[in-house]
Amino acid sequence: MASIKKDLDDLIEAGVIDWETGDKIRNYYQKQPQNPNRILLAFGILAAVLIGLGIILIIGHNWDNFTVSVKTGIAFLPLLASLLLVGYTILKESESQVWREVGGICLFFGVAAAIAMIGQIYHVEGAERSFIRTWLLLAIPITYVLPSSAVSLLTFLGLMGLGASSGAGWHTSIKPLVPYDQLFIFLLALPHYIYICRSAPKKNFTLVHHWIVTWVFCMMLIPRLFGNGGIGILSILVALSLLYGIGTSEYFKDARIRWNPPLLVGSIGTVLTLFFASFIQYWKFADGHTSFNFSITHDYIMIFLFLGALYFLIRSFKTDNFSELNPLSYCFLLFIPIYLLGIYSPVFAMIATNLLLGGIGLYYIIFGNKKQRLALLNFGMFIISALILARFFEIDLSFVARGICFVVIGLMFFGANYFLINKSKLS
Amino acid sequence: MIKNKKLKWLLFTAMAVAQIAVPVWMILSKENVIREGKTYKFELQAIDPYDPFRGKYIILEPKENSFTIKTAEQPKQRHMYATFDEDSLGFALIKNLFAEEPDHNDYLKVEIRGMLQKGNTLPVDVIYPFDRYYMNEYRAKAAEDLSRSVARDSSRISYAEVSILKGSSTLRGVFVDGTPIEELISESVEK
Repeated sequence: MASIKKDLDDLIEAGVIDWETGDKIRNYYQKQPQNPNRILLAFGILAAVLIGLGIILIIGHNWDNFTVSVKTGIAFLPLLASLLLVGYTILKESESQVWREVGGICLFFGVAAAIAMIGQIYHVEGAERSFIRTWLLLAIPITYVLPSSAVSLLTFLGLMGLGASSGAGWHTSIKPLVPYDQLFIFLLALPHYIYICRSAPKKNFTLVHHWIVTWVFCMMLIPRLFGNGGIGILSILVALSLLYGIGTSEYFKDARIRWNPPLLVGSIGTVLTLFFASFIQYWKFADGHTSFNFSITHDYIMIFLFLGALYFLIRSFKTDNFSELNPLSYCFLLFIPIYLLGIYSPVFAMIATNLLLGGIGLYYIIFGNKKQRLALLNFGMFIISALILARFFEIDLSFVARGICFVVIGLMFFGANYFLINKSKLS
Repeated sequence: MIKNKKLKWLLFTAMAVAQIAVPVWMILSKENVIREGKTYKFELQAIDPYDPFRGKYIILEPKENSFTIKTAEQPKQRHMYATFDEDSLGFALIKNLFAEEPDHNDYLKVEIRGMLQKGNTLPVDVIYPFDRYYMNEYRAKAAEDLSRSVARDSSRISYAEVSILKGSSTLRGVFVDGTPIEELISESVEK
C-alpha cells in the first residue's frame, strides 16, 4: 500500500491523473481486505515443516541406549504435544489461519513421528509404502477438522511419495496393478481441494493445489494405464482428454495459462501421446501385444475417465461453435476407431494418427492466426514440424532431402511469425 | 467447512483417538506375539540399506526360505502359511506350507517370491515378514561388515530370534553366536 501511495502522489504531481482519480484509487485500496499475517503464515508453515522433518530425522538416528519403554514414551511426545496444539487452536484460535496451518502441520508430522518410532522399536514389517499409507490415512482428518490447506497440500505430496514408493514407473505388465490405496486417499483428499477451489479460487494455496493435484492424477493413473498392453495408449488419451476438458471448463476459463495445469498438461500430453502413436513401430508393437482381457477394476476406471471426458466435451459443444471447437477436446473419440482398426492394419492406424495430429496442428495455426496469438500459432507449427521431421527420419531419405526439409521448416517458422507480427502491428 | 463447534470437537476427538490408537495397537499386537507366540531362530545373512523415515536398518535374509509342495497344492493367492520345525542346532526349518490358515496358533503368513514347477512338485521360494532390523545410524554399517565376516567364517552363525503367533511375527533380536549384535558392535567399537 505504501508504494502505491507514493506512486499515486508522483502521478498526481506529474499531472498524469487528477486529485479525484487519485482519491478514488486510494479509497479502493483502503477498502481491500488487509492481510498482515501473510508473512507470518509463510514463515510459520516453513518453520513447522522444518521442525517436523527435523524430528523425523532425529528419530531416524535410533537411540538404542534408551530402553524400549523410554523410547515408546518419547514416540508419543510429538503426537500428544501436536494434539494439544490442535485442540487449543480449535478452542481459542479457530479463526486464525496461522494457528490452523501450523498446528495442522505439527500434527501431520507428529503422527509420522509416532508410527515411525514404534515401527523402529518393534521392527514392524513392511516397506515405505505401508508406512506412508498409514501416515496419510491417519493425517487426512486434520485437513477437515481444522481445516488446513497446508495439510491437504502435504497429503497430495505424500500421495506422490506413495506412488514413487510403489515403483509406479513405465512398466510392461499386461495387467496393471490398480493403486487402490492411492486412489482411495486421493478421493478422501479431493473434497477439501474442491472446497478451496470454490471458496478461495485466487489464493496461493489453491493455485499450488492445481499443479500438485494434476501431477498426482497423472502420476497415479498414467503409468498404470500404460502398463495394460496396447490398450494403454487409448486409456491415456482418454485421461488426458478429461484433464483438457477440466482445463477448458467454466472454472478455469479466465485463469492464466500458468495456473491452468489441467489445460497445459492435457493439451501437451495429448499431442505427445499422439506423436508417440504416429510411429509405425508403435502399431506393430501394439498389434502383437494388445489384450482386451483387462481387469474389471481397470474397466471401471477407464469408463469413469471416458464419461468425464465426454461430459466436458458435451458442455463445450453447448457453449462453443463447432467450427471453433478445439480438436483436442474430441480427438479421444476419433482415436477409438483408429485404435480398433490399428489392431488389424498398423499402416492405416499410423496414417490416420498422423492425419489427426496434423489436423490438430493446423487448427492451432489457423486459430493462432485468427486470434493473433503467437504462442498458439507456434504450437501448431511445432506439431506439424515435429510430424514432418519424424516421418523424414522414419523413411530412408538422402541427406540432401532431409537438409531441404529442415530449411523449409525453418523458413515456414520465420515466415509465419513475421506475417503474424506484421498483422498485429497493422491492427 | 465444519462450522458446528460440537461436531468439530467430536471429529477432533475421534481423530485424536485414532491417531493414538494406531501406534498403541501396533505395540500391543507386537507385544502379544512376544507373550503368546513361540520363538524360533532363523539363520541369516544381512545387508545395509536406508529408510528415509525410520532410520537405518539391516535387511534380514533367512537361509531357510524355500519349501517344495505338490503341484496340486499350488495356491491362487500371493501368500501362504508356513509352519516350522527345529533342526539339531535349534534353527527353524519350514515344516509345511499351507494355502489356508492352519487351525492352531503356531504358523506365519509368508509372501511367495516365486514358484517353478518340476514335474509333480513345486518348489516355493518365500519372503518372511520380518525383513528389517532397525539399528542406530552409526552401527548399521558395522553390523553389515560384521554379518559379512560371519558369512565368510563357517564356524560362526548369525540368526534372528522371532516370535510367531497366528500368522504374525515380532522380531526380538539379531544374534551372532548367541550374543546380541548390538553388544558385539559396541565391543568392536571400544576395541
